[in-house]
Amino acid sequence: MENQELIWLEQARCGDQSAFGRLVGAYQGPVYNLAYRMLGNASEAEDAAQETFVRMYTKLHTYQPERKLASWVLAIASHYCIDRLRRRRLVWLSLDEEPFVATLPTHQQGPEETLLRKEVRDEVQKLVERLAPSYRIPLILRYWYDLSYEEIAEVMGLSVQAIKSRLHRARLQVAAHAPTGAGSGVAAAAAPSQAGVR
Amino acid sequence: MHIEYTRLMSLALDKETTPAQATDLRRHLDACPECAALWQEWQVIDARLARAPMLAAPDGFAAGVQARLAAAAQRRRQSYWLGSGLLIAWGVALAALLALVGMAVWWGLQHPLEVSVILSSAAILLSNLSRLLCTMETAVGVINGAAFLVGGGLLVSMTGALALLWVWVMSNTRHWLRPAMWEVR
Repeated sequence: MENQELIWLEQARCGDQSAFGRLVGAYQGPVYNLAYRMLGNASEAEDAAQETFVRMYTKLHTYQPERKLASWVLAIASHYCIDRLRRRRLVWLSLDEEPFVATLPTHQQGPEETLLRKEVRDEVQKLVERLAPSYRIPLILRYWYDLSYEEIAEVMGLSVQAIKSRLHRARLQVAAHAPTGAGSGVAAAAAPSQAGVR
Repeated sequence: MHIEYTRLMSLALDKETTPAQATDLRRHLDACPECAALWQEWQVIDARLARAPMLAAPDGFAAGVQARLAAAAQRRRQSYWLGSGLLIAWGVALAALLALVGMAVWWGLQHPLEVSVILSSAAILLSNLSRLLCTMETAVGVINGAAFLVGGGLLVSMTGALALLWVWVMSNTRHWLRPAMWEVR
């Protein structure tokens, strides 16, 4: 898949708009998800994700093939989202706004499962939004994109040691703000596995 | 809470501990109830984060990107037109000015006597004119108006000629000052 995407990228560099459209199709989900997790607002996330692709198009000539394409795209998106968060002074949120909630289609969901997923999503989003942007990014890349420390370091332009430190601090902050696990239905549904240290 | 062990907990959640670190952490958790409680909590949060779904982009997302690219290309085209037009206008105006000065100097060198006569006549004329302007207020308006009309006419004609030249050049030059890759096809 990566090879095919590199071919599209090369075609896009030569001005082929349809090839760039295919690249957008391949990465629109991950980029939108990252923007939503960072910004916490559906319309702002869509705007940021689209702007990410515009920036990607203008930077096509700077892509170096030895770098993983997904890391490059996510790096553009994460830097743009951090910039946006820094610029953000006032957040205008309509109280009745219901963010766009479509999740990747996996299988038919019943109303109960849909409700449970929404509950998990909202709860998780609240936890993530309490973090500073520089801590949000590594946590998002770790949990939603399953990137290794090295890959997160590449996306953020930091050392592996710095990523370890940020993930550690992010977890401390999340735990400090998280509601007590015992009382939460979601927490009960997401009971820890016995894997790991214990 | 022991901060050095929370670091190990973070690594353990990412399955990045060495066997020695894992053993060390296990022993500590057996001995420290506070860290053991925190570890339980971290595991719950970890599972919660791991279960959070990946969101899909809304319908029409790709079309929105295409529209933005088209708008960006349009803005770039306009800025190239404006920039190159100003460049041409400056160039032509400067060349015309230099040509006029050059011709005047050349003619002056060829006709020194006439130049001195013209300069003295001009000085007399200016002197008379200023005296006239001081005394005849109504004449000032007329003279200023005439000068304004002549100057304005020349300026408009020059600008029109430059604009026509610019449009002609841009229309007949496909890739001039415009890299092809910015064009949205």
